[in-house]
Amino acid sequence: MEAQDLNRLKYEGNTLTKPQQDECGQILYPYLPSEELVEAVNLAILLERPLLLKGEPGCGKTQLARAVTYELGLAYEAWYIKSTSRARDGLYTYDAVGRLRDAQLAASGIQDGSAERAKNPAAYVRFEELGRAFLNEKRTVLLIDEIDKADIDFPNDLLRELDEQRFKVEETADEYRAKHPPIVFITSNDEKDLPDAFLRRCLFHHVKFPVRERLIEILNARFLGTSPEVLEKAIACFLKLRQDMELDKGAAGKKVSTSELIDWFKALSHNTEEDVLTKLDGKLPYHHVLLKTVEDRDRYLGEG
Amino acid sequence: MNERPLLNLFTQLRDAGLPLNIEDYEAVLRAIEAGYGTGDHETLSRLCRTLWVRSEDEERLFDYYFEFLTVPSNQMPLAHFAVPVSPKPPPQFLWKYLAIGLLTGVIAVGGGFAARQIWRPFPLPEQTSHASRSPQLIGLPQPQRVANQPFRLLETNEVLVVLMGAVFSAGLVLAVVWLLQLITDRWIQEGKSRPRIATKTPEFTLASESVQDGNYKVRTNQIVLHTPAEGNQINRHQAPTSDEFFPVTRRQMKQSWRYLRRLVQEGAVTEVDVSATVDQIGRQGIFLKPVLVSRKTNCAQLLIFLDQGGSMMPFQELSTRLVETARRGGRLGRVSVFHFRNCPTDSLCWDSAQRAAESLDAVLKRLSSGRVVVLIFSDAGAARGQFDLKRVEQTEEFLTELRQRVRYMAWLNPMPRQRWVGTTAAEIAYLIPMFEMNRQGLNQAVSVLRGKPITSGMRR
Repeated sequence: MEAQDLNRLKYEGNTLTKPQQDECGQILYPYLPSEELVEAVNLAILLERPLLLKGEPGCGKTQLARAVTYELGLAYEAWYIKSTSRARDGLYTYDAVGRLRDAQLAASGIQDGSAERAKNPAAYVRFEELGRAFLNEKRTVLLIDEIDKADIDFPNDLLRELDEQRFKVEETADEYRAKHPPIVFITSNDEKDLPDAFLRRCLFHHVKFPVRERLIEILNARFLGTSPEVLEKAIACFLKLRQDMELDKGAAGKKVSTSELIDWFKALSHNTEEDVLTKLDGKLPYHHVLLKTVEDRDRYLGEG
Repeated sequence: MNERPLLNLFTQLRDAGLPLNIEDYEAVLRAIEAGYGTGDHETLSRLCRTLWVRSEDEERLFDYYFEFLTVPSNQMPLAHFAVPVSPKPPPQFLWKYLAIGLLTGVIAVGGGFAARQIWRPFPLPEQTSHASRSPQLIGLPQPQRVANQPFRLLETNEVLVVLMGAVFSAGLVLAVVWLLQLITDRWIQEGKSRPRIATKTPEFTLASESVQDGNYKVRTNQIVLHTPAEGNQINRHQAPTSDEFFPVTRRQMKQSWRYLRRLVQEGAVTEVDVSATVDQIGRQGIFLKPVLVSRKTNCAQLLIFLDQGGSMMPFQELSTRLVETARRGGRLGRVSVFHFRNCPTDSLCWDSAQRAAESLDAVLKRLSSGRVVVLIFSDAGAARGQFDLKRVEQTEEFLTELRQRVRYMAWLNPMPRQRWVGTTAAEIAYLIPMFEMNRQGLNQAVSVLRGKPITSGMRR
C-alpha cells in the first residue's frame, strides 16, 4: 500500500500557474519550477530523503514547499529556524512552568481540575512542526527554512529523527513514530557549511536564476493581462542591471533576484502602460526596490 | 545489460573525495528503476547530480568525472555510461580510415598502371603477348629463343614495375596523409592545449591529490579561481572581479572562526533555569519565583600576532583578511592584533606601522588568562628558506613566556608544508602546533585553540 502511495505522488509543477487561495485563505502565487527542480522533488519523494535547496536569496526556495503542498493536496508545516533554535524545539515543547502552576493551584486548592492535570505529564507536551508532521494522519510537506541560521550542531541533532522517522518525548518517555514519511524541504543560504553526516542524508538542488523566457512566464502568470511590450522592456531593463551587477560583483555578490523583480514589476504596474514605457526609457524607476546599498544606488542609478 | 551501471563513476567520485556511501549508490539504482534518468546523457547526469552532489564544489568535481567517464550518446544503452571512453573508434573515424584506404588503393592501382605506361617504349607489347602465348615453342631456333628470352624477362619485369609503382604511390599517399594528420594535430593542440591543460588536468590531479589530505574543496576552489575559463561550466564559477583568490575564502575563514568559542553564562539574567527552579521549590516547599540565569555568550578572546617582516609582504592582504574576518564574522568575545617583524619579541606593536609598542608582559596582564588563545601568523623563515638558530631561540623564549599565561596556541604558516623542511619553520613547528594556511590548516588551528588534541599527522 505504501508503494502505491509513493507511486501516486508525483509533482508535475504545472498546477500552480494562477494565483490561488489555499485552505487557510492565504494567497498562493504562481510557482513555475524548472524541469530539474521538479525531478529533484520527485526523487526526494521517491527516496524519502530531505531535499536541501540552495541558491541566491529570492530565487523561490521557500515558495517551493507551498507549491508542492498545493499541487499534491497534502498538509503543510513550516519550521522557520532562528539562531537560537534547538533541534528539540521542532519536535515538541514541554510546558514545565504550566505544570508547576497547576501543581501550585492544586496545593492551594483554588482550582479543582489542576491536581488531576498536574499528575499527567503528557498534558504539558505540545508538538511542534516536525512532531506534527510526523503525527499527522495526512502526509505532510515540512519546510525547514534557513537551517544555516541555527547553531552549527543543529543539523546533526536532527539526524536521528529524520533518519528513523520517530522521536521520543523525554519527559513522558513516550515514543512516536511517523505515520507517513513527511516530504522535507530544507533551505539554506549557505551562511554556514552543513555537517557532512547531515548532507549525506539529503538530496541537493541548487536553484538557479531563471532564464529570460521563464522570467516572462513568471511575470505573465503573476500579473495577468500585462502587455507583452511592457513585459519585454521591463525584463530587458532588469536583466541588464543584473548582468552589470554580475560583471562588477562576480558570482558571489548580491544581485537583484526574482522576488525583487516581482516587487519591482508590481510597483511599475500601478502606472499606465505609456507611463511605464517612458519611465523605463529614463533612469531606473523605483530603484528602491532593486538597489539596496548606497554603493549600488550610486553605481547603477545613472545607467537606467 | 550491465548488472551494476555507473559503478565506475561512483567509485571514481568516492576516490575523488565525495562523501558517498553504498546507500547513495542504491538510491541511484532505485531512481533508475523508477524511471528517472533513463532518457539521455543529460537526464542521467542530472539524476546523479541530485543524489550525489551536495555543494557547488562537489558539482564541479562531479561534472568533470561525469564527462570524463561517460560517452555522450543518445543511443547508448544505460550500461555503457559506466564504461570509460572505449578504445573502439567512433563511427566518423571508421569512415575516415575507410576513405583513406580506398583512396590509397585507387592511387596505388593508378600508379601501377602509370608506371607500366611509362615503361612501354622499351618492351614490345606484340612480342610480349606472342611470347606469352607460346612459351613452350620448343621447335624454335636457338637465336630466336635467346632473342625471346629478354621479352619473357621483360614480362616479369612489367609485373614488378606495376607492383613497385603501386607500392610506391601507396606509400607516398600514406606518408602525405600521415604528415597532414601530424600537422593538423599539432595545430589543434596548439590551439587547445593551454586552456585544456590548465583547467582539466590539474583538476584531475588535484582531485586525486586531495584524497590524501581530504581537502578537495579548497583545492578545487583554487583551481577554478586561478585558471582561465574554458567552456560554460567553468565560466559560470569564474568571477572576473572576484578577489577571492586565496586558498581560504573570506566565508571559509568566518566559518572556521565560528568554531572558536568558549561559552559562559554572562551578563543580565534573562532565561529561566527550569531545573534550578524546580529544585528551589523542592527545598522551599512553595514556588516563590523562578531562578533566572544569563544567556551563554562566547567569551573566547583571540590574540593574533602578525608577522610583518619583509618575507611576509606578499601575505599582507591575507593576514588583513584573517583579522577582518575574525573581528567581524567570528562572534568572538574580543580580538586583539599585534604586529612584529620576523620574530616575536617582548615588545609588541599595536599598529601595522609599528609606531605604538607595548611590552608583552603588559599585554598579558590585561588579559584574563583562561579565555585567551593565541594565533601566530608568520612564515617563520620558510619563505626565504634559511635556517637561523638565533631566531629559533628567540621564538622559543617568546613562546615560553606566553605559555605561562596562555594555554592554547597555534601557528599558521602561509608557506606550504614542504617548504618548511630545513628552515627555521621546521624547528619552530616542534615548539608549537604549526599549520599550513589553507582551509584544513585553519580548521585544525582553530580546533587546537579550542583545546582539542592534535590528531596524527598534524604535527611535524
